[in-house]
Amino acid sequence: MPFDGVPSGWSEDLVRLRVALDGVRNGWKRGAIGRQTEAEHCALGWLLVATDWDTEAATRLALDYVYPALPSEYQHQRRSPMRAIYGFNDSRGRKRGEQLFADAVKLAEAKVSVVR
Amino acid sequence: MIDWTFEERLHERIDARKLIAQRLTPRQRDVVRRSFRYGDTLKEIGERDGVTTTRISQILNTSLSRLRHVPEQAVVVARGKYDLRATPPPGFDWEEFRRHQAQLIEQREARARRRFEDAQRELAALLETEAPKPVYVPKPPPEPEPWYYELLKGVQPWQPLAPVAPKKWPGNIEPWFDLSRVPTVADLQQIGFYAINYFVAIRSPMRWGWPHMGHQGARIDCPRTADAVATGLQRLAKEIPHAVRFSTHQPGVPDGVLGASVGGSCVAMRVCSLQGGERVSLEVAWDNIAE
Repeated sequence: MPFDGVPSGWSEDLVRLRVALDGVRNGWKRGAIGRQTEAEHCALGWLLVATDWDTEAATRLALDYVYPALPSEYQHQRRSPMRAIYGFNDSRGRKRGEQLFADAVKLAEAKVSVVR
Repeated sequence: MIDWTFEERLHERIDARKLIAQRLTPRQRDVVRRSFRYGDTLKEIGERDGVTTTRISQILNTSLSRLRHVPEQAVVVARGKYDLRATPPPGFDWEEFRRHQAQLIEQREARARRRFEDAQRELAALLETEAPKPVYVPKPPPEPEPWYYELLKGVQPWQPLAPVAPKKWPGNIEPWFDLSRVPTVADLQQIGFYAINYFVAIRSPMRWGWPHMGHQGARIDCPRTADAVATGLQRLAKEIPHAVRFSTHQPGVPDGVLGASVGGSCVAMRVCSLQGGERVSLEVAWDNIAE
């Protein structure tokens, strides 16, 4: 545990989510993870970029922060969390994608601030 | 042993009494005292005062709400009655309880692990199956339907001068024999068959009228009626006028080479000029026609 008293993984999550949020703001795309390209990705693609294409870390971020930030009608669909995020990204526009990641950042910030 | 906190607790009790004196009415104070200090049940208090237990409960709730601004002082008052420590019921098995809790925790962790693995698998599948979506190319607007002249309209005196769109119903599909290909023997057989049928249908007194005009009785049992026959005969007259002979076998009515008089509605015109009860034949010379 670092000297600020927050478990190191949580701060890292916050940083990664902010990176993803910045990416969605600047290069959002519908329906393409975009492994080959640099500039534009979908929501999951930006999560992967922020985690340096580490699928495990990206999955954890998606499950812990992005999926809980989804609107309830998307959460309660029967498909998997990743499919829900993917579908939300495709059916809604860039603004809603931004909002999704902003909410996820808020969740991470709340988690960190509770410990502080 | 000296109780060092006695004085503090004494002050707390005094403050609580002051608070009760300030905030509660005598009736509320009485209910609180009897409930908390003497340990009477609400039912007993109600019976003594001649009111219902519900009413006593209301009074007690009201008074506690008014004291709630300083809850610890109210708690001091209530301390004598309620022991707030968690006390398990007699016969409670702590080991079983802990085992059960551990099992619940284990289940929860297993579920979280499974969910994580499923999600990771989903993500891997999405990465695997990701293919570039086709670029959206707007489709060109469909070309308009080809227009053609309805040849039998020539029968009508009110023939329109402008081309009309083909009607779309099963009995009037586009002419199967148009001017776009060389006629064969089969084509001519069909044309002859339809022409005879058409003639007979027109000449029958039971279904007098124009077969193509929608009279129920005038329908003949070939799908292409007047349009087709007229188109076919017109084509014959144009291509091989010497090969087709239309005969009524009547002395007064001259046989005609169709090509001499065909003008789109030749069949109808000629048929109308005939009388009832005659034979009609259509002769086709096959020699000049491709198989």
